[in-house]
Amino acid sequence: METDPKDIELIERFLDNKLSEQESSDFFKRLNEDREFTKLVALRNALPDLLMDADNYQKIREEVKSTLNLQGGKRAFFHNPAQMALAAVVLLLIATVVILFVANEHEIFPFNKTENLASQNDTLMIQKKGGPDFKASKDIYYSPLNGAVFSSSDKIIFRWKPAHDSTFQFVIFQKDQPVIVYQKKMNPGQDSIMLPPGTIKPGDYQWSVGDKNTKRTFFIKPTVR
Amino acid sequence: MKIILTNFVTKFKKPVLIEKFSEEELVKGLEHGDGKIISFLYKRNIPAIRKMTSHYPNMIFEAEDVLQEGMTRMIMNVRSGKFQGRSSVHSYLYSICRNICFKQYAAVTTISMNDWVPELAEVNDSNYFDLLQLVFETKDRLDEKCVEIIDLRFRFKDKQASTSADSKLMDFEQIALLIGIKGDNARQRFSRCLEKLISAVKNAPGIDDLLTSGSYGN
Repeated sequence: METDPKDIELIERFLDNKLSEQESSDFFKRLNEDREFTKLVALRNALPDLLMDADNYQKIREEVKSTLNLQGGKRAFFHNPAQMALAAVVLLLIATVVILFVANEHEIFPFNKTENLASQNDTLMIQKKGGPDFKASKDIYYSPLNGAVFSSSDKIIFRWKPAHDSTFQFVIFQKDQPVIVYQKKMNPGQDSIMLPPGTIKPGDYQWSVGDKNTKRTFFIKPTVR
Repeated sequence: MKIILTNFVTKFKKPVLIEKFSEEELVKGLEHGDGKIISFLYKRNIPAIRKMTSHYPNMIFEAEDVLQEGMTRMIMNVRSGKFQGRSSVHSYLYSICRNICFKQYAAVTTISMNDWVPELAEVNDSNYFDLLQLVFETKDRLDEKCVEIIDLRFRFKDKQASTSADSKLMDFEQIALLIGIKGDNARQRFSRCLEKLISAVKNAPGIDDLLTSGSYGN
């Protein structure tokens, strides 16, 4: 049932002692007979204390909250130092794995640049099919072996004695013909290059770095499926 | 004031807080809102509250929020004298927290609030705190003019007057002078504003018990 503001006005006038004798008499009569009105009077009397308590309740709640937040007592995600340390280690490991993965994907690490250095498998392949075949002095060599044979599905690693003084060209051309099929400018100090499978068609080729007089032959045969 | 003893056999387990606060110190600390006591009580009781909240099936309670609310209610009860020291501070706080959870649990399950555990009866005043929250929220939603006239009438801003028993209410003629309207208009405005508050709380759970308990409006 709706509360009539007029009833509240009446109660306020009663509380301020502003009712006439007749109004006062009616007020008490109604208080005895009308339960809703009795409840309204009781509620009106309780409201100042209720409002005060409600205000205190909120203030205390804020006090407790700020005390706990200030003293770091609350909202600890982990509840003891061992858990915290474990979480830190796990996070660190995850971060390391992610960084390594991303770096690997983008070939940020120099040892991972496949263009310049052979992987372990490539090295095995070189040992099998290539290896130093020419030693003009104790530390000058070239690979693969002169006349080495590769399949078109092989990655071919070319190695040579690095030249530190200037840039130079790595060139592959058709055997006995001056038709260049692949060439790349090398950086000073570069001593290898990887030719991915399928870069050049099967056939007889020669390669050289810097000086065409040091050219070596190799053969790529078609892959048998 | 407190000693952290570490059990060497299980030294990687959590340190055990051994309290050096007496019951009296705890009660006084709560009464005065002592940060050290509040923080101590929180740390001392949070493991038990976490364990308790985890036992409710199909309900996820934030133990930290439950304990924070429990401590708020505990302070209210200490300050109002409802806490009479029949049980220890920790037991009382635990019971309040259990009531908070039980009430929320009962609201979403078929369990009746009549299934209240007898030992909790002492602190079964959840309705009262819900009512305070409702009163606060309702007042918060009132417009500024309403809040102003209610505060003036009940002398909430006038600490000196609110403590003297003989002048608890401000006369509407005085209010009218302060806010620049006529006395009758001030009474009408106050009545309209109070009606909004009364309508919001008059059917709230526990209001009848509260009004008949005699603890308000005397």
